[in-house]
Amino acid sequence: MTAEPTQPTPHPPRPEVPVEDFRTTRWTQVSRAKADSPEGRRALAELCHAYYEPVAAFLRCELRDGDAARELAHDFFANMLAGGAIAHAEQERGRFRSYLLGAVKHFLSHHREAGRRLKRGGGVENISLNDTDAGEARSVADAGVLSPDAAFDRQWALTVVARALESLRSECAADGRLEFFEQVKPWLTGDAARGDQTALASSGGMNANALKVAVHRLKRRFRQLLKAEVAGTLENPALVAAEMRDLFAALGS
Amino acid sequence: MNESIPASNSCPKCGSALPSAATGGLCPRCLMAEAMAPTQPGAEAAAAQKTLAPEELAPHFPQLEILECLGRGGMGVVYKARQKTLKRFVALKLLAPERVGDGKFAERFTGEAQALAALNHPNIVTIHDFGQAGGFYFLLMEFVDGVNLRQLLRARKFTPEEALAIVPPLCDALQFAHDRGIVHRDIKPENLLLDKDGRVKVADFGIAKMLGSVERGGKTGEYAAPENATQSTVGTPGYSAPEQKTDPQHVDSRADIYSLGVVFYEMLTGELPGQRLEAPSRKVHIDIRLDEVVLRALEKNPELRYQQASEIKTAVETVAGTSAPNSSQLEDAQIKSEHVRLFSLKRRNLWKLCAVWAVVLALIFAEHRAIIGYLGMGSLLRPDQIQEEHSKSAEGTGRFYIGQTDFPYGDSIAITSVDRSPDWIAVKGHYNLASHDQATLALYITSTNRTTNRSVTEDAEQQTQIAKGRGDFALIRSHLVPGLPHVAMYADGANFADVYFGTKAEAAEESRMTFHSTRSFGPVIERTLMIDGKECDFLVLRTGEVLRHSFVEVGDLHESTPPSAFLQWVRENGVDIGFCFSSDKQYVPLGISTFETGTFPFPYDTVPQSQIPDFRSKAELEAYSVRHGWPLKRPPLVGSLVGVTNIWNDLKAAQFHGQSNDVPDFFLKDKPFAMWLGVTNFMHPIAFSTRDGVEGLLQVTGFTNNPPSVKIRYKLVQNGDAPKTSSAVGILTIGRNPDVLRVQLTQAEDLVASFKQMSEVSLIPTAHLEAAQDKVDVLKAELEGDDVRVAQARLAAAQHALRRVSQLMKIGAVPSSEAEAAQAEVQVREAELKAAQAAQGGRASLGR
Repeated sequence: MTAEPTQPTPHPPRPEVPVEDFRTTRWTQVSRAKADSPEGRRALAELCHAYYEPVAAFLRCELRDGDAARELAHDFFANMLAGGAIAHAEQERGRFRSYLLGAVKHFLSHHREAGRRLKRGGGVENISLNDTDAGEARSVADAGVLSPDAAFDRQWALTVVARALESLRSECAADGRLEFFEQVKPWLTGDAARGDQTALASSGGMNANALKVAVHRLKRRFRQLLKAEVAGTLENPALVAAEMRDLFAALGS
Repeated sequence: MNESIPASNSCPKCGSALPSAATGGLCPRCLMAEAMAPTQPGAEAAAAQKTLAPEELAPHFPQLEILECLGRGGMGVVYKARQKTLKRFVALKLLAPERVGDGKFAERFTGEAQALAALNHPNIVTIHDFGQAGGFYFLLMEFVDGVNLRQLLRARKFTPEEALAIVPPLCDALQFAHDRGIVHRDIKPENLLLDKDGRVKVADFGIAKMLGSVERGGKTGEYAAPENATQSTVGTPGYSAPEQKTDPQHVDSRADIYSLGVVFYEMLTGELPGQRLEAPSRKVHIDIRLDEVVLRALEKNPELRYQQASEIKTAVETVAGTSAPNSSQLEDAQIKSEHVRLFSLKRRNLWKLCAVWAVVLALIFAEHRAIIGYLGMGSLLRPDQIQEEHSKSAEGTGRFYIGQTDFPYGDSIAITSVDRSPDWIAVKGHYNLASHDQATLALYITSTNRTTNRSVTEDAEQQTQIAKGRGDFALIRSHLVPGLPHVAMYADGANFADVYFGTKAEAAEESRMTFHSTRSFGPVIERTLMIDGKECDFLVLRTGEVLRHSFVEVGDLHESTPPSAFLQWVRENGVDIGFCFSSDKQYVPLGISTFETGTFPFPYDTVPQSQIPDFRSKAELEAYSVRHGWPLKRPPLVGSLVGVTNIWNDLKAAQFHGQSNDVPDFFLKDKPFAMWLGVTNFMHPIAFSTRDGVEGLLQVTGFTNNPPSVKIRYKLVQNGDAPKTSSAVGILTIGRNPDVLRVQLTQAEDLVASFKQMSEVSLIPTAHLEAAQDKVDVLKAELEGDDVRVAQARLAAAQHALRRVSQLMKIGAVPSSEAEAAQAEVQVREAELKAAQAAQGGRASLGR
């Protein structure tokens, strides 16, 4: 599994091991290993690959220049994966999210350009109206209103949710139930999106109760996957609930 | 039916505006909320099994005839039943099967249920009985033969009258319960019932608390299990008050007020209030006084909300009851007192309010005198757009702005009463004059001449001379003309303190086009500037002239020194703004650029230019291009400005300070033009000032091709009628606003400080430090307003620059043309100094 930090994809690799175990061990491995073990490095690479977007969002907010942010994000991950920053993992209370944010800030402070841009007029910079790459994830509205830290957390939360959903989708696809997933997924956001379960049930050849059960099971599985995704970034999986609350708050601000 | 959320809109359920492409069109927030929500541990089992049939329940409730299952809510299952002895219909609610046997829960349940049973109010669903039976906790409640508000909302939107009719009884219910120490915590349309007689009843009071583990609230994960981190403690997403999530242990009755506000909003507009809160009157045709009510209920900070539900009722009833302008002040008294409270808030809070309601700047600002003048700022709009906005707010009448306004130099004016009739207007208040020894206080009326777009102020009939210090005033004028009345302090030919009052309609009508204070805007000017890659149009702001110049390419922009020839041309011609294509490698005056140099992304040439509308926002631009099948791959970039020393962000309300009456607040916001115009406010007005102190607003209104051009609209801040003049040799300080200068000075000093640090470790050449220090000196001189000192400082800066360039030339680092240009600059500054000294000498001789 070669993770290339410069080409992030939102799709997680198809795991060879049960999803929960696979993810749970990654940050634990990294933070406990803290050294150049191949497992630790690989785990870190995968984590970085997965959570590229929050770093990019943070840098965009800080630098206010999409191109510079992208370059710096690449530099950062390259630096990190070359063994730069694992050392202070223990200070971050076992959260990859906190650790990564700290590492980015550290990196940024060393690379701040001297003298800003001394252009005629003084201090004016090119800004980008819109980052044209990779669609939606970059068009988080109003980065100017969010602080860079908040942008990082928000993008992190979005990434977590997106990845969990994608895992669920992959699972359904692997089970030949992709169509079911597509039809039923609005229920994952709650009852309000329900629409007409009965119609769907009959068209799918299930009775209403069976559909209810299937929907509930899908919801439950999504919840498990979401928790697993979050747990994968924590050293202590028991802190999942707290981390999820923080992430939800980051989405809601 | 699949309800997928369009990528860039807000979620209808929770109102957040998060991107949803990565989550398959589903709102990420709702996904997460749902995944975090508790399922009643029995709910999954319940879903898998059939609901308990009435017959199965019957043995446990011998006194009831169980008729049918009415439905399942988040808290439990509800059945319709009839009490055999009393022969009345009741609702039987079964809760929490998993808690049976939990002694603590039983205690709490009993306590809560008893409190609820004591809530005997016509608008609250009464609890008749409660207890444990059949493996459930149950509540026996009044049966409401009707529908819930959610069902009504789904069916149709409410008319404002209907919404207004529902809210007061809801307030009664809430107030009644709050007075008895009971908070609902989960007010939402599903819990609001309307019976066949049209009576409103609130259901499920306090059940949230009953079921929730509020006592163990907090962030430390002390919940029994994550599954039971009950949704009820945080209410329902979209309806729950912010503190229910962030500070659940300190939630009180004001959380219900917030939820009521959300429901009210939803009734009026059909939507939940979103991240960017738009006033209901912006969405539907309603009395704008309702905006205040809803807005205040929706305050994020509980301290700022209505503290009592009864206050909302009063406010709503007053709005519903009064409709005529000039209604007696008695009827207005309550609204006025609300007003005073609302606007005696610290300005900072008001601005926070506005930050939330960015879109309604015009309306909100119409309320507060200090910003009335700024309405003009935000609306470099087409006249027909202004008409549209005005007609939306046409209902607002009969509102006077009472309260105190403070001005930057210590002056203040407080209006305590306003009386109007068709023939006269009388205003009373207090003043405090601090900045002058003497001044004139008078009552004016200002209107806008639609033809010239200039503001016209009718002279006061009665002028009061006032001296430094405090006092009262009473002013009256009988010859009324249409326009916006204001009380103003006036001295030395300048109007330095101003309070506008009048009806909202007047404010909305007039103050859009005017900026009242010591400055006003000139007319709105429209220009189309060509942006060919080789040659570009450059605009001279002061005269409106457009000149053409070829585009220059330099090396890395970060270290670029503008080519001297171009700079000289810029200075000689007084050019301020240009639009060019740019990339990182090119020199950019105000640029509309694309990621690919020289490529214009919009194939306008397939559509006749006259048919291309002006776009007011990037969203419109995108929508238009999608409709026409344009491949909108690379939207334009906005670059930087030449000759412009500072550009501030646009009217993002979050940026406002609210400090000064004298200049638009965003002039004070010292932000270099590194803003993230981003997705939302592409075409917003931009505030700027130039090296010569010309200030104004500019708005990009559209693009054309053939030839590629940018259409802009702008207006400049002016004193009186004459535009400011400035030339290379002439007046140096042209009344630049001290607040602006102070902010610039701070910025420049910060830069010097950081340069000092960096030069110590040789991170930057000392030349930068010297240049930065020179800039500080110039600004300090400008702040003093002494023309001679300014000229001296500028001359010194030029001489230093010349020295640096000469040294570089000696070692062959720069061509001689650079040295020549630096020499020319020195000569210009020398001439300026001479002129300034002469002017000062002249003034001296006049005995000033």
